[in-house]
Amino acid sequence: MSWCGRPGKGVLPDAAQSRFAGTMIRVRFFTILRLLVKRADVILDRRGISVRDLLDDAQRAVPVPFLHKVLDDEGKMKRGTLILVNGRHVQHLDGLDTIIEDGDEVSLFPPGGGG
Amino acid sequence: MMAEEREYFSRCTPVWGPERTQKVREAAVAVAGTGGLGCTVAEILVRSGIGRIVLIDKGRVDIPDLNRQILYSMDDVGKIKVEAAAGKLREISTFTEVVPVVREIDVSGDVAVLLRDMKCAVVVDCLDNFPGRFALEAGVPEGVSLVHGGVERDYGQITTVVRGKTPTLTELYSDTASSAPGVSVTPPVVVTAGGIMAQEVLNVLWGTPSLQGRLLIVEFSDFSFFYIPLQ
Repeated sequence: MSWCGRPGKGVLPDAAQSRFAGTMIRVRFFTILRLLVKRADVILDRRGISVRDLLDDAQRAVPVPFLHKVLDDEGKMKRGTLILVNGRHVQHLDGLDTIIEDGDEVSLFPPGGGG
Repeated sequence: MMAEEREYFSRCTPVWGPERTQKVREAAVAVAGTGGLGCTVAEILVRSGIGRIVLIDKGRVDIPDLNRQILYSMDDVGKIKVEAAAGKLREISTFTEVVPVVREIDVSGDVAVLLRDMKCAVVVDCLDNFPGRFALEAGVPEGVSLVHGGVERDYGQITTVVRGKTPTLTELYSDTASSAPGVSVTPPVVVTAGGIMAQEVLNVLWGTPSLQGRLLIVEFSDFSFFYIPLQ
């Protein structure tokens, strides 16, 4: 069993991820997206980048494309996947134009709808 | 507490102590939706000695429900869910008042009146669709916590919402959350998420919520549990 705080399997080795944690941008994948990309997260050396561009870069860093699950053909957010920036829905920020800075975390999360 | 009642709760009370046990015994909780999560939450709360439980659902038991909706069996197929659930819960314990309410939760505002009249200290969102969740949230009285859970496939998420203190479900999910009827879901994640929700209800009753302002994601594909702090 693994809990929060564990090193993820990102583009950097685990030791490097720990060393850089908080100074780079982490993109976390949850649930069916994690199964798809076969990664819990990626850590990217970026700053001052939009969510849209960050997602493009994240897709290049994982072995399986995932953007088709998150964005539609026009590049707009699809229903069914939340994009949280530091725990806040990007719709309440500047949407896909929200600028991501050092140490920010972006979570891609398709919530469970059933009860 | 009478002797039989003391004996019934004799395995919990040493852990919780008499004061927290008494808080549970005196509390009223509403469970919205008596599907997979609702059955688990309701059964655990009744076995924990909750004073009153209000079950709200409009559905009838169907065969696909039986893989995870633990209060129902084959004999219940076709019965009104809240009535079947209430019957089972009354067999489990006579120390809880069980109130079944056959009602759809929608934007009519009926649920707000019901929750206020029942003096529920906590409302539990065990619904299976987002429009219903948003309508429920709108009806939760000021200052009352809403423990939310959702499941799909082999994952789920749980958080506790308090208006004015945490993001609301409407803010968290906005219009991006989709709801397809009859979602695929496995029994272990339903019972696990429901168990966590029941514990969180107790935490709220004791004044020590664990998931207020953070989202717990339970994922059985890689057996991970992860918190996302919410803003």
